[in-house]
Amino acid sequence: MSSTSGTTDSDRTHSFDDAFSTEVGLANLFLLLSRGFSSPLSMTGTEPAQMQELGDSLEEPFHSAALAAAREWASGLDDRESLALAYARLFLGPFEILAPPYASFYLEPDQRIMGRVSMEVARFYAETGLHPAPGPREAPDHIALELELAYYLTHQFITTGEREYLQSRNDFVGGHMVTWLPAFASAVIRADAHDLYRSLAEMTQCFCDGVTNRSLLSD
Amino acid sequence: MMTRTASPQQSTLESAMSRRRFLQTSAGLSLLAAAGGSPLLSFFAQGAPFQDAAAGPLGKWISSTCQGCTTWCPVQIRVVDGRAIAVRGNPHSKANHGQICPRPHLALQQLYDPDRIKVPMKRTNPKKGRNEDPKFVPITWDEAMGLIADKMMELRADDETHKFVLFRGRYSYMRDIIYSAMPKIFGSPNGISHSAICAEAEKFGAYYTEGFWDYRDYDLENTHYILCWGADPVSSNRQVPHAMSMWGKVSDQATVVVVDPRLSASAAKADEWLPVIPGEDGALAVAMAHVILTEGLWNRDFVGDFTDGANHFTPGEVIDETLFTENRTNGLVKWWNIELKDRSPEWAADVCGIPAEQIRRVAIGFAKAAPRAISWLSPGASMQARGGYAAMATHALNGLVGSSDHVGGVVQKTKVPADTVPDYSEYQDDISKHNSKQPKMDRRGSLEFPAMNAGKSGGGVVTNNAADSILNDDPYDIRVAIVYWANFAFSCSGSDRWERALSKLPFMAHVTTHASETSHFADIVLPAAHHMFEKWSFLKSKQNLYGYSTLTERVVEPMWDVRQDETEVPWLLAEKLAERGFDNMLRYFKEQFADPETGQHPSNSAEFAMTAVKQFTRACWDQTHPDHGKYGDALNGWQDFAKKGVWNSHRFKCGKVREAFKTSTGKFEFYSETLKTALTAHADKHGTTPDGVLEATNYTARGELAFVPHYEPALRWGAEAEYPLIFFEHRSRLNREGRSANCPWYQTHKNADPGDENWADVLKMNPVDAKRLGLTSGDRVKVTSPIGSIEVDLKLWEGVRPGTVTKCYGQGHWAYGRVAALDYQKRVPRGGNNNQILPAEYERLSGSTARHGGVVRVKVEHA
Amino acid sequence: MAKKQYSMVIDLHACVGCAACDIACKCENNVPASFSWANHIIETHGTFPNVRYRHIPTLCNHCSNAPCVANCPTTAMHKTDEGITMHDADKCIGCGACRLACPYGVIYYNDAEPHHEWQEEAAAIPNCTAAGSEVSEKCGTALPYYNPARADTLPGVRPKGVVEKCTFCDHRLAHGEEPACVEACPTGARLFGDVNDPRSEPAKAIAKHSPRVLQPEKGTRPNVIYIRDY
Repeated sequence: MSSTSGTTDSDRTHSFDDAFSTEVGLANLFLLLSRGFSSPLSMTGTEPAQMQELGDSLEEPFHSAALAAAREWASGLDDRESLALAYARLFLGPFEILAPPYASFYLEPDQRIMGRVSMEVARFYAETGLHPAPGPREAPDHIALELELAYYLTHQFITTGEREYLQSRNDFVGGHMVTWLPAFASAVIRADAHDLYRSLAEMTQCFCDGVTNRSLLSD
Repeated sequence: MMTRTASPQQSTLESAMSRRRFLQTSAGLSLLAAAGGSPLLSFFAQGAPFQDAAAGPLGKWISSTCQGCTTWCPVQIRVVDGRAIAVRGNPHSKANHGQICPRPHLALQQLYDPDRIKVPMKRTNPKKGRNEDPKFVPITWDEAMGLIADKMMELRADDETHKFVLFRGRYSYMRDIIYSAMPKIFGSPNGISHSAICAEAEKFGAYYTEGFWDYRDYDLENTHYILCWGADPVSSNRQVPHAMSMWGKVSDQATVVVVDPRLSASAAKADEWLPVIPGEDGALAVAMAHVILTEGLWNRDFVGDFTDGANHFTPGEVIDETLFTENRTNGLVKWWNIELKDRSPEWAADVCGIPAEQIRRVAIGFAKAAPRAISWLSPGASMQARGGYAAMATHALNGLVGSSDHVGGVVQKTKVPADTVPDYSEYQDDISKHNSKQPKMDRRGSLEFPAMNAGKSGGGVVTNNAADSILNDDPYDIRVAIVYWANFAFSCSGSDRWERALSKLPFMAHVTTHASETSHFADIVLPAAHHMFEKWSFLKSKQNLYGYSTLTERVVEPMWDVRQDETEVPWLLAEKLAERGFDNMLRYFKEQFADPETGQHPSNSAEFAMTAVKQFTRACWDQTHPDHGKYGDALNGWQDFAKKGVWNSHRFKCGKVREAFKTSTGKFEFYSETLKTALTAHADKHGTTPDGVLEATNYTARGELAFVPHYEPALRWGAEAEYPLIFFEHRSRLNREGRSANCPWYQTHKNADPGDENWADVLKMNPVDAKRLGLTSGDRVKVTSPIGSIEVDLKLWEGVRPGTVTKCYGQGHWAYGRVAALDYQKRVPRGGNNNQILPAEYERLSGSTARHGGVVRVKVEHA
Repeated sequence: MAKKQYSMVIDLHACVGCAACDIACKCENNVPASFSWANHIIETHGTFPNVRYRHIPTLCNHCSNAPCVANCPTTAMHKTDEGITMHDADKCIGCGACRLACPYGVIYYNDAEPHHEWQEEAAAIPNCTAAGSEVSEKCGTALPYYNPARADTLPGVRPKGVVEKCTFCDHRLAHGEEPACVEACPTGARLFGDVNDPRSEPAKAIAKHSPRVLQPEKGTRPNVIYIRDY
């Protein structure tokens, strides 16, 4: 399992390709977390393999978390109903939402969504040139949307090399997402609803920790 | 999944290297992306920046016109991604204050109705009848127009081009292309319009008193009294949004009285409701005139006075005409002597069912509020078998109190400049010239159908009689017909005659949005563009003392293979006729029409449609037109007109018309010299006297009575013993002229018509009658008149006069679509069509169909 | 300054009972034909010829003391900062508690796929007229006159299993537009604004006329307020 984990050689000379692959890793991480925190009904089934591929290329503590997530994801998809139930208990209610997936809940004084925070997030989306896709919509500060945006900006940076994308990504992730994701991840872990969500939450925590303590994001 | 290997710039990554090692990935990891490398997004879409994204869902407002009733309101339609999603009043319109009634909203469900015809259809079952399946199959426009042209060329070969008829229902002002130029160049006199099933008898009232053959306008803003004769201004008839928007203010400052056997929407909000016995409005009107005179409340300034200043109008007494000096009127004392002196409220009470004291109170209130008072005539009080004189009597009240052409009163109209079809006489060959002068097929101008339009015998149309003409080959056999924007098999009383007539027609093409009752008898059905969303045309109308010219525009691209009825269809036909050797029509269209901006002549049907509307409306927008800016807005070019959608006239100014009415005497005529001239001319034409004409047209009056507004007893079909209840119909605030019953929103909000129920077509009966008949609400009942029967649900309601029953017009479709019909495939109607129990009766002097006034009696029993 | 409270005043004297509001609402909010977020009560009193008819437009009262909010087992039905009684379809479990609690009957439940008529495959005249599905496919939307702006704050079309009701057109307010029923009313009978702002149209109308609400005895404190008589 761990045979293909990334090198730990701190003296290794990094090529530009390495740096490039780091951004690819980040992009994929954002996208897979976004998919993971979306409705299980919208999953395509390719996610576990993609997660494993990502895990294979990561160091600890991501490596183990990603591989665990890949495993749980695969078995979760075998029993989509339980997964959907867990998803509903965690993020939808009905009677109590164990881990509200909205930034507003953690950042607004009265925990309401579609307030100032939601609107600011929506404005940020608009400034990046994105607009909501047709069909049913979510509040803009839903975790899956925020992660998808982070993926998009990273993707655009990788494919165009334009620095504005990187700057936006860092502003959004570093200035906004990490202010609430740890609390959210803790809530998910505390709720202990499904192993998939626990491992996704752990990955989220690792990531936030990386951003906060180790300047994970390049500038 | 593919890996993008394009490297970002060196400088952007260099500084980050050392800090990100714990997320170091192996170089071979693929970036998750869609095929082609674009990002995989589920919640977002790339593309337009935020500002445009906001403009996206909100769309754009594009101007057009609603023709859901005859108000013809300027509207705007919100278009998002090429779809029409909402409607509002056109804010540029001074006439409707930028407001609209419920009807334009319903039009969205007409536009997107799945039951619309997508492609031309051809009948494959030669047998015609309601119970025959036409077995329609789709064909191309090319084939369809070719088939019609073949039939028309047969008429030319036989020198029988007059046996072609163009039936017109609702129309725009592009009408003269298909209705006048097309038949006349082809060689037929038979452009037959729907006007006589609309409201021609109403015009009779204003014409023979004040010389105005048109609908009036009303100065609501300044009025102090409104007396509605069957009019339901907040619901139907003309100027609906204007009336609705003003009604709160009107109710604050004015007394509103509504004469109607049904508690109409306006009656429900009125100060007084006068539930007259259907068809007896004339008695009420002449009694009110009697009161106004005996109480001395006529308007001295307008009418004049007795030379001695005393009031000599004593009930029952004849007065010497020389005692009275008239000012702007003609024949007041004659009217009194011939008709009014004995028409006391006590006499009228028995006849019309309204208590004498109420008649007196209303007449006095009306006269005291005058001249800021309105006697509002409508089809309800005029489209009756003897309604011509009721129309005169009700309108004459405006003369008595001086409210005609007065502030706060009843006024005429402003000029709305427009051009029409260029002269086509050069394009008529000998056959067309000769056959266009054959008598028209509806028998207008015959002794029993004077159909006098503005006093001219045979100047009007007798729409409903066309069915009998076809059935009886009188005056000749009709061989080919094109029907557009009309559904006479549904909309004409005595509709069974139309079913038989249309079955008999050897060849008929129907241009329509929906497969209606009339389409069921067609050989070819041609899908028409929807007037409000898919068609270029214009309309002229008035409200709020403003005249206007308003465009209908193609606001969305049609979803189906439709063509514009009044422009494209004649063009396509002209092309096919040209291919078959008769190119006069096509040459006329190509040579006489040219884009006013570019001078270019049209080369196809779509260009023709645009060219024609620009050509006809030039005065509104083209600075080089002599009338530009003269009568109202000076719009700056075609684009400006198309964007605003409406041209407003200057506001009408009262006081000018009354100086010289366009009557024989130049006065407001209580004794109508104008009518005398018209009746005498018609009588002369047929070698008889005016009395002979009145006899032939079912009127009871003889002698001098014929020339004054007077009471005529209601004419009813059916003996009271067998048919105890008087049936009358009314209008719906949701009717788009009988075309909206297939809209679910029509059905789900039908109870907005007082007394009606959602998803139903109820017969409304007073509980007193129901008790006597042992019936109750919800009963399925059979309603039978001497000419037919329908089955509907019964609703007991206090808002209908005992002894009468009423039902709304507009439902009872057995075709039109799967909402309008209860079972479309089996031709089971939802409700019942009133025209199956209403006889084909007429107000013959105007040619009108007498659909009101309780023209038929019915019996109602458990179905 | 008091907290914002959106309110609607309906002037029954100006209202002519035309139902343009009802239809425009359906159009704006992609409401199924069988639901009426905007609706009306009709009454006929008396006996001929002394008959009194009234038409009273109705909609969600956006109660200050909203029983639907109090009884919602999730947080789906909630009050916004602007006093709108709002619904979050994602959190709705379709239990119907709000409908039972509401004394005004203005909450509707999607017990089937909404707008199913636009998925139907049959045509009235085969090959000559269309099917519902054909129209919606050509339009690329669930229903042909689908208003995408509605999806700013609610599912554009509410799915099977959740309730729906009037939101005072909160999505339009965000664009500076008035609720659709207010814009559609040809008589100016509907006045909309912040009732806590004394300069607003509803506040002025309430001050001038004696205001009334539906079923005051229920203690719901409605924010749809009626003035004058029909």
